[in-house]
Amino acid sequence: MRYLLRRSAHAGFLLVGVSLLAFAFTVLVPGSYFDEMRLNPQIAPETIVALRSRYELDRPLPVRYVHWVIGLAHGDMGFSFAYNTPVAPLLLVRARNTLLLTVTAMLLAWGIALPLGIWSADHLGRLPDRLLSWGTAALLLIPDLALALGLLVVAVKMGRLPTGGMVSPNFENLSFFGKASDLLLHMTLPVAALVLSVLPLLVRHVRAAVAEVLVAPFLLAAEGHGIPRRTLLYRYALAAAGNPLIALFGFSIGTLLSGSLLIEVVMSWPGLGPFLLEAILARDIYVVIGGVLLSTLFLVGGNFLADLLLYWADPRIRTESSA
Amino acid sequence: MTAKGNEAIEPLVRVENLVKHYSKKRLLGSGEEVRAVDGVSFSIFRGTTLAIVGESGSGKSTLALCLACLERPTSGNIWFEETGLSGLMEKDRRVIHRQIQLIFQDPANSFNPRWSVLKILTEPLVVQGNLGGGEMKSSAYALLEQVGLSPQLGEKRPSELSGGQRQRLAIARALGLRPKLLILDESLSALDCSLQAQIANLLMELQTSLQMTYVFISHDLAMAAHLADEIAVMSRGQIVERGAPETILTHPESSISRELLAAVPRLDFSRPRLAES
Amino acid sequence: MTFGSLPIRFGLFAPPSCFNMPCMGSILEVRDLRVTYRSPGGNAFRALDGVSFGLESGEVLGILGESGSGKSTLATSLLGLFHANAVTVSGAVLFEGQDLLQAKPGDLQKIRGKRVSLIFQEPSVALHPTMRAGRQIRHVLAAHGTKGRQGFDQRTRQVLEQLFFAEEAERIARSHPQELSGGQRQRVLIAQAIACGPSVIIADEPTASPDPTTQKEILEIFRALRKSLSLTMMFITHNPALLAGFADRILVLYAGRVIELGPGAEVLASPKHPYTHGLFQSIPPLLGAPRTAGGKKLPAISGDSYSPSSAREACPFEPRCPERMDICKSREPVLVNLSETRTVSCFRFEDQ
Repeated sequence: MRYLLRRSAHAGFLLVGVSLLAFAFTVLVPGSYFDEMRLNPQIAPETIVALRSRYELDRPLPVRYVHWVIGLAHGDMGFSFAYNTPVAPLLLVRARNTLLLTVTAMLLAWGIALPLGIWSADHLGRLPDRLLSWGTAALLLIPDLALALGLLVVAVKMGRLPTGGMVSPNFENLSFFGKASDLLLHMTLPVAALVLSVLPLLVRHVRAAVAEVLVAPFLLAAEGHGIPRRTLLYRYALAAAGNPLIALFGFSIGTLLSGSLLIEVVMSWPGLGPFLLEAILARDIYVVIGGVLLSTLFLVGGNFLADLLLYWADPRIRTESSA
Repeated sequence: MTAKGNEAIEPLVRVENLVKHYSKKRLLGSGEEVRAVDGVSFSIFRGTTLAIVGESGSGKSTLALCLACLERPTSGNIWFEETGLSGLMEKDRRVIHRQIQLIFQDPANSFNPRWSVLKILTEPLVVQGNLGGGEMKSSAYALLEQVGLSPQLGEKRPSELSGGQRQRLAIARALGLRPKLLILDESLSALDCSLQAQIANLLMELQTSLQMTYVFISHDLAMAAHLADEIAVMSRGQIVERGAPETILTHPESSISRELLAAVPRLDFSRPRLAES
Repeated sequence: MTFGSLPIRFGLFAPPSCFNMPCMGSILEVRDLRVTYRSPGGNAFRALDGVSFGLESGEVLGILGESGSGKSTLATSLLGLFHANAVTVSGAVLFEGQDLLQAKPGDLQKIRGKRVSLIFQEPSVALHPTMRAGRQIRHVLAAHGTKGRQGFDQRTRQVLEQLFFAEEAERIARSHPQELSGGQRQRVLIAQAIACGPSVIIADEPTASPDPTTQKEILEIFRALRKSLSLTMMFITHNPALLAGFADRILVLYAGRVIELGPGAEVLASPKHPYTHGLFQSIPPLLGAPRTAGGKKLPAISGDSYSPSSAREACPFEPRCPERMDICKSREPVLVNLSETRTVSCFRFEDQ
């Protein structure tokens, strides 16, 4: 219990700290959105001054931070200068698009990595395992960008899969199934790219963790009791190898919002990454701060989830923390 | 405990009402107090062996740690050569600390696995700081010889030694600092029976030649009775019975002693007649 | 399947299997078992070097061996459990006529835990660290045909109540291994072993617990179980005192070979092999033995425990033997019969 309280307190501190720092850094960066306007002779300087005071750009930092936090409590993340609308709905739509990709990719990746890694550890050192090791090493070497571009080339050659965007132009006119299949088709390439980029690392970790456990005495003892191989691998070995894998899982969740930037840009997927990039270049500060906070939320939340899972999965942590 | 013949009358170590409590803190509510050592008093004379026997949880290892100055007692005092340890400054404590060495049960984990045997032996000498490089090396070889290890083992790592050799190395390392008191906390328990006898003989030899004083902590009543001049039986942090081995074995007074005695597996399966008390 | 080929010597040669024991009663028969490990550096380590003996139905066979003797390898080899990848095995382990070393994995899995059970040493590492004790027992039951939640619960409780007090059984089943004491963990291991009603139990150092009273309790448990479940047992230990009054026969293992075998009481009372003799002598007597004047020296066996780098064609005990002769360095002794029930492997007895 104490353990959980401690972890929650950690998480809380982190969020507050990051929000502060993000706010401070973004605001302290020289220049603002309205500097571009100054170059335009048609806009009167008074207009710019008025705009600046309307968006509080002339107030001191602490004041702006407090106002922003208060707004946050009401679900208001600030105002986007570029789009002229509140930030929250913009960000959340984009975040949803990104999550669609990354959650699918993560589930797929883990779903493949676990059995593959376990099978590999079971055949440790033998030919199939060696081949797999070379395969994953090769995949690791290929940069994400090359992977994504390579997939695009294949898609273009094949001509079946859409090569960009999230939906077709006639999306609204499709039936429910039409919409679903259209979305899935568009998701195929980016998800494939994401899975391929993250799979080799996962497989190697699973393989290493399970291989270490497979030589433990309790596994030999269980084998001596006649426990079948399948149970040994999936119930005994995986459970004992769980700790590093759970930590890795938590980290994976943390990168759900941030890890897909490159792929989204290359495949024109309307996700959070390209949007944030734009906003940074345009000095659309509230968008940037909101985006950073959202990413941090996921990172911290992911780690916290991992802590929770560890607490549940490993009774040794429970007794340690109460001692 | 009586002194031997022409030994000094004053005991080497005197322990008076030693108490060591650990408290387990909780988030809410009061902490739990664990009384590991709960009022223990005894004396040990130079050149003799005191054996402390008891079940696990009886407090014998905590007592060992307190004697070896690795834990500060909650209350009570320990005198080493008539110097009380509780009132000392840190640097004076350290001087006395060096004269009391502790040897643990597990020879495998007592050493830095990356150091050679020679380095393991010379390291404590480096700490002492008063010997040159060449002298340290020859001291190390002398130590090896003293414990019956071949000088060729100097360059090996601990992992390349057998269990018996490692335990000898532990003794050699402890001897390097020329201690007056050696505390052996279950040091023989992890060894095979035949090796236990060898190391026991070595310890007896060293006691005669170096005037070593031992505190032998064990659950093995037979080995304790063989090595000790006096046995103290511990249970729940207190000494429940004390006396010469013959006395304890033939006329044990406390129920703990009787239980321990009954639990010893006997090779000839004929138990000594216990006097009905 | 290979038989050891022992040359005939002095007419007292005994066949490699069941040395003069009536073979009909053998429930488990080991024939010339050899296990060699190959380290990555290329060195070959002969853990078992031609072990042969028979286990009689209903008896307790004590296997006496110290480190380097190969006793743990013996325990795991009998069930065909080989962990290291590089291992060479030859010989046969016959259980009710079937060679376990040649059995198909499916058949082997049905025998392990159900007909022949192995109790690992070191209870602290032999149990799964994050699974509750009751669940670990259930897995063994599930592996061998028990079905249904009720069946599991019932049998688990039954088995636990044989080893713990009834009030404790429930709590123990729900506990994780690190919440249990050494003695309790040992009992859970035993529970796993007897859960499916095996006929043979191989116990590897089951009393390596720190407390003498716990040791005694565990021994009592074994005695009681042997009677109540009509078990045949192989009890492996390095402490001969534990076998006193318990083992029907004692087999002494040294350097992966059988060096002495005979009825328990006889071997303990009058050991023939110099190693066995020296081993018994080196145990401090509890009382009564006269202390040598001027010192408390125990008659210990000199030298270190066996390391497999010694020459092959010689008696492995020769470097440490107080009674060695010239012939001991040049040839390996074979097992000879001293009587109907007694065999020993030593040149000193070869001309009897």
